[in-house]
Amino acid sequence: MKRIPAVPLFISSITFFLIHCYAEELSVPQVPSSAVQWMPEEPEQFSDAAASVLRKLIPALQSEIPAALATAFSVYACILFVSLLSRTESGYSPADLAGAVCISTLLLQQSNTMFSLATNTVAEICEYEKLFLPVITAAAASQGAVTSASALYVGISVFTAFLSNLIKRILFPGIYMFLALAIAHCAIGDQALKQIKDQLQKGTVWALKTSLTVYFSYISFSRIVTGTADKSALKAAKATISTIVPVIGSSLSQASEALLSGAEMIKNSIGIYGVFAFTAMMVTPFYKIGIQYLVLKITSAVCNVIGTKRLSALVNDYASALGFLLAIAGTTCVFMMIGTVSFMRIL
Amino acid sequence: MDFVRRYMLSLICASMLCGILNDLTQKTFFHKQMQFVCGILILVTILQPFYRFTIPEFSTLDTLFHAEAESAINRGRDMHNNAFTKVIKQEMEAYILKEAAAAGADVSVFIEILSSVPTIQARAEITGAVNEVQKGILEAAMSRLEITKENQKWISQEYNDSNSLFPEN
Repeated sequence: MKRIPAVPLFISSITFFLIHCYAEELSVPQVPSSAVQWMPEEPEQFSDAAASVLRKLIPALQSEIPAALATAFSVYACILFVSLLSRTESGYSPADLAGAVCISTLLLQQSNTMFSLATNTVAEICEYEKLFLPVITAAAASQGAVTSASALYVGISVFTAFLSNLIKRILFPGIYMFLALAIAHCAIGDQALKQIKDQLQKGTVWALKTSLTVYFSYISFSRIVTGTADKSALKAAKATISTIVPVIGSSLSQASEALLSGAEMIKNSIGIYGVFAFTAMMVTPFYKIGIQYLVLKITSAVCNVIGTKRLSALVNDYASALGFLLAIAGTTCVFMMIGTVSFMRIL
Repeated sequence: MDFVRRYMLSLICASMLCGILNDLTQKTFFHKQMQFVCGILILVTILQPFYRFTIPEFSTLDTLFHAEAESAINRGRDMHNNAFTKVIKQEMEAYILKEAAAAGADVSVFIEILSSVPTIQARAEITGAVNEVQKGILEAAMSRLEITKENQKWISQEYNDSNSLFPEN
């Protein structure tokens, strides 16, 4: 009877001891320097950490909005000027041509910066994933989820390689192609170009949606299939532990439970850190591209009232291109976050 | 990025050229032929980056990722085994110390786990003053833990009989 109160004490001391053991062996990779500023001071408390990120984000937004508004104002002035020169809506007029060139000149520089930002973010997220994945896989394996962790690691790595290839080789050039078609359509008013542009837009959205759906399905199925195998293996292991060492077998079995709980705590802490790290990497492009996107959409709506349809459509297409960039970077981030959360939920 | 810029420029130029040509040949007899040529030109320009797209060798990637996953899994397994080995060591030491205390022996115990797979093999080092009865009790405890005689090391210190619960007759 005297042993009963000692059991929880023993288990908690073992858990504490193990957390230190594992923490010494598993160190989470440092987030890239661009994302360090967005990392919360205390990632252990999820709500406090999220609030701290938001507190940092608001001043950054205040500095970004005037820059976006300046571009929007230039575009508005340009469209107003062109609309004063010509009100022609069909065929191509020199005014439309000049307007297309003028708007492209104004917006391309901005778009280039946003393209670089999105490209760097995708590259950073993929690089960080390569460092982060082995750590969380090791933590999951130490918890006994050997099959699930292995399947998730391979699945996430293959999908990430596929997605980064798709983004680098097809989607990013596709967005440039979309912009080129939008400019050409605005300049010469050819309907065929507009149709190709619209198909390209649909294709990009479809590619992102499909890759996310396939990825999510793989993660769900692999969790169901491999999770059962891991649970059975763990049950068998628990049953054999008591027979491995005579006399102390039963207390070893209890210690094993504590060991797995400790490993789970470590794995979840690593997972939360990972979620914040991926979010931090996404914050800068999200608010920078997001503000440009919103301001351009509003500009397009305002220009629709005073300018020609084609020029307003061009501004709208620029906004859509920024929206694609946001969607691509966001999808990459969501890929990693789903992967990390799946690691946290195995077993 | 330079490639993308060049690509965008070529697409704009191609579409503008085709638009102008199309417009110039609007009411001529070769308008349809010109449309066909322009269509091919634009199609070739659009599909230009797709020629460069090569699907990565997924069998190679798969092998690489399996190897990486295996290495991460082994690391996790080693961590678990190390932690579990430490727990077994502590448990064994605690058990022997408990038996020693019950026998009235004042000893210190050091256990070294030689292997934990497939069965536990341990080496024990007992330091302290014990009489024959206490030694017998501790040897029995260790044999219950499957620590063989060869793996038991006794470092004896001067025995003080007044400490013993089992005084020799």
